[in-house]
Amino acid sequence: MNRAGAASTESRQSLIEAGKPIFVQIAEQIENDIIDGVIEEETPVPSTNEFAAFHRINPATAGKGVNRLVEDGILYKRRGIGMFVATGARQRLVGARTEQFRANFVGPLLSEAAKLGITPEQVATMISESERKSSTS
Amino acid sequence: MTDSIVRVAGLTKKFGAFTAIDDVSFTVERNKIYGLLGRNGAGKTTLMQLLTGQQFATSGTLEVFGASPVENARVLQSLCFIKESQKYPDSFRPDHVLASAPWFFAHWDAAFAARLVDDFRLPLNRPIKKLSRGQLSAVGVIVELASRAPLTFFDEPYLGLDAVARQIFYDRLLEDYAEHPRTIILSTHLIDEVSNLLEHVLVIDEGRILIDQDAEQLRGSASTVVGKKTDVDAFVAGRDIISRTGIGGLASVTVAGLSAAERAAARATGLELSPVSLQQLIVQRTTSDTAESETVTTTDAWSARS
Amino acid sequence: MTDLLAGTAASVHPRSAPARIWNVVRLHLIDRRTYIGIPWLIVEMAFVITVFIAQIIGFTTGGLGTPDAIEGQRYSWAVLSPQWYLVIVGVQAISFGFPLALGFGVTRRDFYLGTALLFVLISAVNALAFAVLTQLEQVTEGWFIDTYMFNALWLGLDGFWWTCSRSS
Repeated sequence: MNRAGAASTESRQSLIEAGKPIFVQIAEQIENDIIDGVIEEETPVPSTNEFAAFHRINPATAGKGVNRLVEDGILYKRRGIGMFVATGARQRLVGARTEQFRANFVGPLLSEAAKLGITPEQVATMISESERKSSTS
Repeated sequence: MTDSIVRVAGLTKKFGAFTAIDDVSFTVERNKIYGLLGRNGAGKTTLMQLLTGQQFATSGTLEVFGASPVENARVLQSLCFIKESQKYPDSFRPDHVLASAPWFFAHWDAAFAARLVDDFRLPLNRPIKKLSRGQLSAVGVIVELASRAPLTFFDEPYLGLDAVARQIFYDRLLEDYAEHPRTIILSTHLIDEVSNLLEHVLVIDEGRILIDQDAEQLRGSASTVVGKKTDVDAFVAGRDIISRTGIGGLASVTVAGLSAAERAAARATGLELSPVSLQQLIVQRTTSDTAESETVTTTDAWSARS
Repeated sequence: MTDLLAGTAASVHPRSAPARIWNVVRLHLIDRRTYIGIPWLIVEMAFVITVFIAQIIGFTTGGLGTPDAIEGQRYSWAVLSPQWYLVIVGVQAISFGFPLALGFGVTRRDFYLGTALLFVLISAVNALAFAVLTQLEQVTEGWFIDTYMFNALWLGLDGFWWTCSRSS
């Protein structure tokens, strides 16, 4: 019942946003941790109950998020020990995220460019110019 | 694993001319955390009293652990329901309650109860009638948590508890539930605070079950579309509209079930999309038949209470 | 605090009807003041008042030891004073004890039987205690001060039932 505990509580809950299935968010957070290298391949991920306690969410919901990654082959179960990150999981996640990046950002970028009469070549030039600017400044 | 421990069909409870529970049917599955949500006076407490044999149904069938709970000692031994307005014998102190509870709850954990007493800083030797509202709630919460009853009801458990005590309650509930799974029915009108704890949601309004759905399906099942009134109207035409508000030429409409493609289409036409929290969704559903302007005020009134 | 809680850690699931009914009795008796402490406090107070009044009467009429004075004191019925209190807490047992018992998953039937058993037990124990005290009062000739409270008319020695059985 100490104040410090209460403060950490606030930041903890903000990790879960409203209006989106929580198991999706749990799965995404584990994916991010794997991509960022916070959790390495062939190392254990926290248990369902640890996720539930940390995020203050229903254990069944946390379990659903973990199971989704098991179905995707990102995590696998070692009997009696827990969930581990599969070998090659990071590479596969980065690959999937690259596809998503293409769909979510590159596609809309090019269609907006087309509307304004900017060719893909001009877009590429703009990108390398801003890249140069941000690196020199 | 569908293992129903509560089966309710066509349940109705009338108090004279007033129908408190109106032809309600649902089931409760073992070892899940349910949210029994609704506005004050919606019928939450009456429903729980029916489930615990404290009230008699006017009509309909009701089975808890395979039998009617009314005067059924076998069923009642497996339940724990400390009402929000629970009365205690006049001279009782919290230590009396905690010392007698083990005689009635087979799975009582005295060490857990002692830990909760420390957590909530409950004075054990003060007469219950002299406790603050929060301390009174703590007595109920401690009994309900430490009872480990196979079907435990929490009725607005955190009335008067401060933010720290409420967080302790949620933490202890989750910890203990993880170690000792049991069925929990959490009745409240403060949806935002507990929504992440719930696996299934029952929303009751004016004695009827309005929503009976998996919490995760419900989350993200609706989106609010904001934009120019004409554009919004064109987009939402023919869809399941949950609520709509507007100001000037702007409209804000909450609709159910948008696919990813539909979202993209909405964004392409310049509309803004925002997710709807469980609380917003339920508020909008329970006030859906009110006029446009009233929706805003009711929503505010609800969130002001939280 | 921890002692109190730990002392009841070994809980037994109340499955049989007698065990369930006995638990209701225990629930009523967990605060001993209500059904034991306060009634006997009332008896003590009644005794103090009886002694006080008896002394006044003895002072004004010239002695308590006379047969008339002993007979007269039997009309005080001060010994009945805790019964009125018990009638009131009996009513309270329903209005305050019942909601908690319901919360603890007790059936109405078990609560009724347990509460009835509680009052039968209290009556039996009190009757026994009063009988012993009445004997003591006789042996000590009114607690050595010629003051008689427990040997009330119809209730004490050669009381109602005893008289009935003798006259038949």
